[in-house]
Amino acid sequence: MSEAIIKLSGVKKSYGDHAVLKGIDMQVNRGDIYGLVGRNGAGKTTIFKMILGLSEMNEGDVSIAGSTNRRELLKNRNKVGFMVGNKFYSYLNAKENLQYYATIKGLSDKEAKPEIERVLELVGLAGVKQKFKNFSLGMQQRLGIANALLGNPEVLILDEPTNGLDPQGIADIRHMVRRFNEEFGMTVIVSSHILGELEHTADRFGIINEGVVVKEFTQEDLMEKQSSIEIAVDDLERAKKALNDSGVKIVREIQEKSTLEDFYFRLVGGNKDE
Amino acid sequence: MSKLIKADLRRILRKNILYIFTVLLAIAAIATKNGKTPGQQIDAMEAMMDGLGIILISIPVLLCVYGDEFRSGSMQIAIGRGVSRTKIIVAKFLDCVILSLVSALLLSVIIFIKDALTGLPISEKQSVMLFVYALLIVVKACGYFAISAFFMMMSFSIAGGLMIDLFMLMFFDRILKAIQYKLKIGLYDISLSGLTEDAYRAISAGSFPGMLIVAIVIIVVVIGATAFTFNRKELEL
Repeated sequence: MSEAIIKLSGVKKSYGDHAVLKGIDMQVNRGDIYGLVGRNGAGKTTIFKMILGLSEMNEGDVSIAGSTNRRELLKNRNKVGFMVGNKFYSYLNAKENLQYYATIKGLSDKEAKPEIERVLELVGLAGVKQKFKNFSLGMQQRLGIANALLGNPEVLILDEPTNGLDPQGIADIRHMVRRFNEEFGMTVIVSSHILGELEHTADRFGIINEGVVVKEFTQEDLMEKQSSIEIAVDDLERAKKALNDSGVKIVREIQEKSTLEDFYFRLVGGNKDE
Repeated sequence: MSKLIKADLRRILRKNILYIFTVLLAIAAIATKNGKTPGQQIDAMEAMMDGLGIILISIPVLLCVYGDEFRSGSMQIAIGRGVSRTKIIVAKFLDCVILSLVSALLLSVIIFIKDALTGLPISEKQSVMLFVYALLIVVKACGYFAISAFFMMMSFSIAGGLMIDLFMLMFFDRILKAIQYKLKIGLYDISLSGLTEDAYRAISAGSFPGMLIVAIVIIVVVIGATAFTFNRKELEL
């Protein structure tokens, strides 16, 4: 049985008469890359706000790393790193901003220095000296992730991390997420309204619609629902003839065009998996 | 709590506005017209502290401690990392206390040097009382910080908080004094200005400044109210 690291049970939240969350039951297991899927306004960010304590729920329960009461919940929030929006001081550079949050997190100056170097290296911002106000959107997102990584948290929450990024930036974030999960064993919760993007990144999914999680499933569940496979061959006509000759009936033939992403990377170089 | 204050003060010390206002404060002290007697000199310096001085101390402190916080939204990260909201409120207030104390100390040093350069025979007791006055100004400024912070933490509007602070610094005492004079209701006496003035008189006379305790209790109650309401506030990501 998988160990739940984040668990929401019957979480309800309303703003006046408008119910945003109507009883969320959701479980993220240790080691998951959990993709939270939903349209804009479906309640994804509100779920994160509940987990992070930025919003009081009307009903229900949130547990982080097995917390059973409010005190434990508050303490265990230190095990969560999150990147939601980009909350930084414009007049400080990357290191100075991270120093601020490292101190809040309780790292001494001696511990903070190598830790800041480490996370900046991980997100590709090592050596960047300019102030935050001069950062591009991609750099802001990277610094947001670096900040979330401070202190090597057990859970990483990324709310729409690819918003506004170019294809290379999106591919970089995807690669980073997988690396944090595989190399550091981090549990990652990532939200997006771009389904194709999450499909490439996550291994478990929760679909939220109108304030309820309507379905939780895995990559394997998606595979099982497939009734066809895709094979690349060098000679399509010969392959079709071979299938016919061996008595296999071709029910449907789909000629797929390249995805825009594939096409882009073919043209400009680079790799979407790196 | 100490790590919050340390992190805050470290980033605030990188703000240029803090140093610009410190220079303006020094200029204001130096430019204040000297008195002809020790008594007049002390009165002039006290008037400067309670006028332009407290304003030049308060504006940068509020802007640096709260203004950037709302613009950057970094408070949400601290809360998301498990820092309690009450701790944040108290830490921010203590930031204000430390920064205004340092400013008042600096101002006192400049005034002492200026007084010495006048060649007036200012007594040791007069110098000590001038320093006490500076400390009481800090108490008053912190009271106004607490009240402004209440509104700022509710509205996340630094402009609103700054306006409330400036209103209290510039007009509040006059309004209360006018009400007290016209209606014979002792409103000014129970204001932070009235209470700190009473405390100054008590210290001057060598007695216990009981009203200072009342002023501190008022400040603590305001901070408590801020923490209570902020704990229920919905925060955006």
